[in-house]
Amino acid sequence: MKKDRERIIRISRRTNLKWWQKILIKAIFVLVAFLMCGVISSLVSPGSFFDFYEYMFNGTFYNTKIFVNLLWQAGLLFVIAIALTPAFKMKFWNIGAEGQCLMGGLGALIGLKFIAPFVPNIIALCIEFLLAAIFACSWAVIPAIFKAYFNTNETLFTLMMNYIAMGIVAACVVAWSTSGSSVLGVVNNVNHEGWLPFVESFGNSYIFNILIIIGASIVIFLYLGFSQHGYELQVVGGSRNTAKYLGINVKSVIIRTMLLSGLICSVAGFLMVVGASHSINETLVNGRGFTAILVSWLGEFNVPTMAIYSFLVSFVSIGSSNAAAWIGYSSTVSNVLTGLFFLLIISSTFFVNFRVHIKLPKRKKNEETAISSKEGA
Amino acid sequence: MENNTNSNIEKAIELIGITKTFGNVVANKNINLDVYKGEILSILGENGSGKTTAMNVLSGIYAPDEGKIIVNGNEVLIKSPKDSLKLGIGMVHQHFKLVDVFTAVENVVLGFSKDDTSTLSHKNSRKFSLKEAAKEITLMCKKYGFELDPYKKVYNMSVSEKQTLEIVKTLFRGVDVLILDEPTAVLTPQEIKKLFDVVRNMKKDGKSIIIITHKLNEVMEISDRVAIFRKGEHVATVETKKTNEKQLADMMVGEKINLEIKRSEPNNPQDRLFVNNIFVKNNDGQMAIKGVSFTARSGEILGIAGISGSGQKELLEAIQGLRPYETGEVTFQNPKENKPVTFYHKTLKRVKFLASMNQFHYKDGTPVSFKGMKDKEIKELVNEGKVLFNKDEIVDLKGLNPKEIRGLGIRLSFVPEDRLGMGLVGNMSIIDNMMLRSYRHGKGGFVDRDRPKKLTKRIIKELDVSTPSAETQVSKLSGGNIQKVLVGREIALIPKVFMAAYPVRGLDINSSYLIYKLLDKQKQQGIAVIYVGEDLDVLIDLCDRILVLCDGHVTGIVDARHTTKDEIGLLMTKHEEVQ
Repeated sequence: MKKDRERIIRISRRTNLKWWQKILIKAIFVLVAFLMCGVISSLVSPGSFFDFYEYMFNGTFYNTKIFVNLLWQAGLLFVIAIALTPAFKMKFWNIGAEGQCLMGGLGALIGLKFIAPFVPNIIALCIEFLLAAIFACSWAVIPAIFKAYFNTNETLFTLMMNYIAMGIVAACVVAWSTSGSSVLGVVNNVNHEGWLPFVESFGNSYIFNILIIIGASIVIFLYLGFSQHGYELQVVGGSRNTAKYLGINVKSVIIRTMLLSGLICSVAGFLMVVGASHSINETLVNGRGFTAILVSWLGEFNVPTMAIYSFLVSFVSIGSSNAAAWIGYSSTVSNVLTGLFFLLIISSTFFVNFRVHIKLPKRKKNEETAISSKEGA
Repeated sequence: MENNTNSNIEKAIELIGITKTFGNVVANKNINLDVYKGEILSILGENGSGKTTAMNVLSGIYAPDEGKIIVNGNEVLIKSPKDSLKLGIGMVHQHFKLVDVFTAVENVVLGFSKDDTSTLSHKNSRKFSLKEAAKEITLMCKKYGFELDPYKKVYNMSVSEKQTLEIVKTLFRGVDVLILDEPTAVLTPQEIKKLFDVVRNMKKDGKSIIIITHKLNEVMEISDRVAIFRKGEHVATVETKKTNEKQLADMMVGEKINLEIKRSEPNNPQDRLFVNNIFVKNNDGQMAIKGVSFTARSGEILGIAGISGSGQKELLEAIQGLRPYETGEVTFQNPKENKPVTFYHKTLKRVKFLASMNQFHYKDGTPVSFKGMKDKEIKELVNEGKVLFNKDEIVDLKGLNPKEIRGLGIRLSFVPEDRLGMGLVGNMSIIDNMMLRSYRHGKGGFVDRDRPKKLTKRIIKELDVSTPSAETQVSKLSGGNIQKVLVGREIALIPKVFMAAYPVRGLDINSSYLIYKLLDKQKQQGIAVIYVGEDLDVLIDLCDRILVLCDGHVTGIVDARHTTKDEIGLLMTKHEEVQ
């Protein structure tokens, strides 16, 4: 009976952790995650433990072009994460960034394909962005309206909207592809009408895209931290009754915030189409809409922290796929490694919030020593 | 229980060295407590003093970190409520654990298995009939003096009936030690009397009863001995006969305290808020307020008494503009007589209109007429404060939301009963919560955090809020400190009407008296205070007039200086015949 009472592992909540201790715990876990990636890669491939790191860094930091590509991928993840953050702060669980970005991309592509050849480039870009915004915002605002007026579950709603968006894009691609190959080639390939300008000295680099993303993140940072709107959406998320108590119009806050979410998603969609692929298919967003949810959560809805996590995650993901290509194992392993990386960072939050006490029962020790002394005799 | 010190009195339960911690919080520290057979033991302590935790340990809800429990002379290990019931210990929790759609008897037998110790006559059989159980319940009720219909559904029961059912449920399992957690908190004076009779009958039957409470007068009335808890420790156990309320209170708080509520004389009372025959629905769409009318006056505290759930919440929320009312009206009399007209809450057009209705005069008393004047001249006159109101402004608040009401320049403060659910945002810092009322004042769509920061510092200092910092999340503070933050913020609004619903619920004695003092101070400053309370002693000592609500009707408005608890208690249960 006594044994039940004495628990070996006890968990208690931490209350006064200093900021540097928090960072230290997380940094340790990031390091452990990197080590684990190397160990796993050396287990499943002919390459050694150190080969993995060599190829990982080669795939991400080898030259300016490769590094700018890493920044662009990280920035894309980051901009989708910041698009989700206002909604999350309002406790509106928007998991439809995938669809919202895709619809934004579709809007931009329509501009690119049907309008850009006939107007000056600057106007084309404006029209493309406008269309992207209209498409993405409408995709974001539909679940918001239902949430505000009928209190429907936003999680399921936004998720389902993703699949509808994919369906629409797939249908458009089939309709627009000339050869019937159901693959849309690069639009305006010859004269680059309606393309976002790119800086030649970096090759076909994404420097403009990255600047736009930085701009958007500053806007969101200010909006969330310092604006009345940002404050109101936090109140709505914290307690709807308190919001009503203050006379805040909860419905309009929900709709307004999701419009903003959609607008930032449209930036992502616009950049993916007009600033990078100049084409579209249903896997354009490629799961970033979901990864961004994790980034937003891990970053605790804090814009600078989210930037760091986006960078780390993209680094692992791109680096490990490069390693996969060179060392010669399946690229799915790189997905496993990215997943592992996430898992370890998430588990670090457990150690940030809780403290584990390990207390070995004393009596057992006595018994053991008794046994060992007998053996000795 | 003439001689508790007598050694031949048997101990039913002994707690030895019980310690229980939650993280860094020590809820119970080395508790040593004896419960004798056939006694009524009160456990007295402020909120957070660890009395409920200690009893939860005894009833198997928490496992203690250290210490022993001895029941009838044997050391036992209680791992679940089932274990404790087997040992004959039953607890009635503050929040009832009943199934609403079941009848009384169904609730009683719920979770009963043939292995349980029971008073059921056929405990050896595999089945038991509800009929038998109902019979048993009726017998039990007769024995102890309960009133309970075994076939009544729980959702049809009053709070007092539900409590009776909880007690019966526990007794039915054959307990010898019954723990009641704050049993009187939800009852009227008459119901409390009934409950105490039952408790005395149970004592006569040889059962031990432990009553957890923080009400001193009840302790004196009912118990044989009082165990006093303070900050997680068991300070002392005294015989009720050998002590008095003052001494108990001092032990409970750990310092000398003044239990007197100072009531100032009404400060030049003037009609401020008129509520006229309003009907308000509750969240379930049922009428909660059925034709209530009253007037709140400035410089006066109007108390609202009533059994909880009689419509207090709905009434205050309707006045605040949080809850719609179709019939009836709420009007506010803005004290503007001989005060200068401003453009803060009025447009030029509105000012011109009011002037044409002969609403204004100049300082020398001549009526204002803007006829033939240019807009610029009118603006100058008004901004220089030369145009004065003839009389108080009457504003209809019907159909306005809180934001619109404030937009008219009418400041109604409101301390709602559910602090974290309404009024504050738990996961925001104290500063951000202070900002809730003022965030719209920032420039260019941004928020101004400087003023709330200063206000927070001031409130923390003036109301002695104990918090690690101004950035601490409100939900991490204790109940008393949360309330101080909320009340402090609402007072800082400099309101015309201050409404508070159960502002001392869950607060310790010192915080409670601080709140009473603050309410009285508001009154002295000429604010109309509306105070919804549950402790009748406090209502009588603090208020000037008391409005009694019963089932959504006003059953009386009495002068607090010339009333008694019994009179209010009767009004609280008086069901008027609706014509």
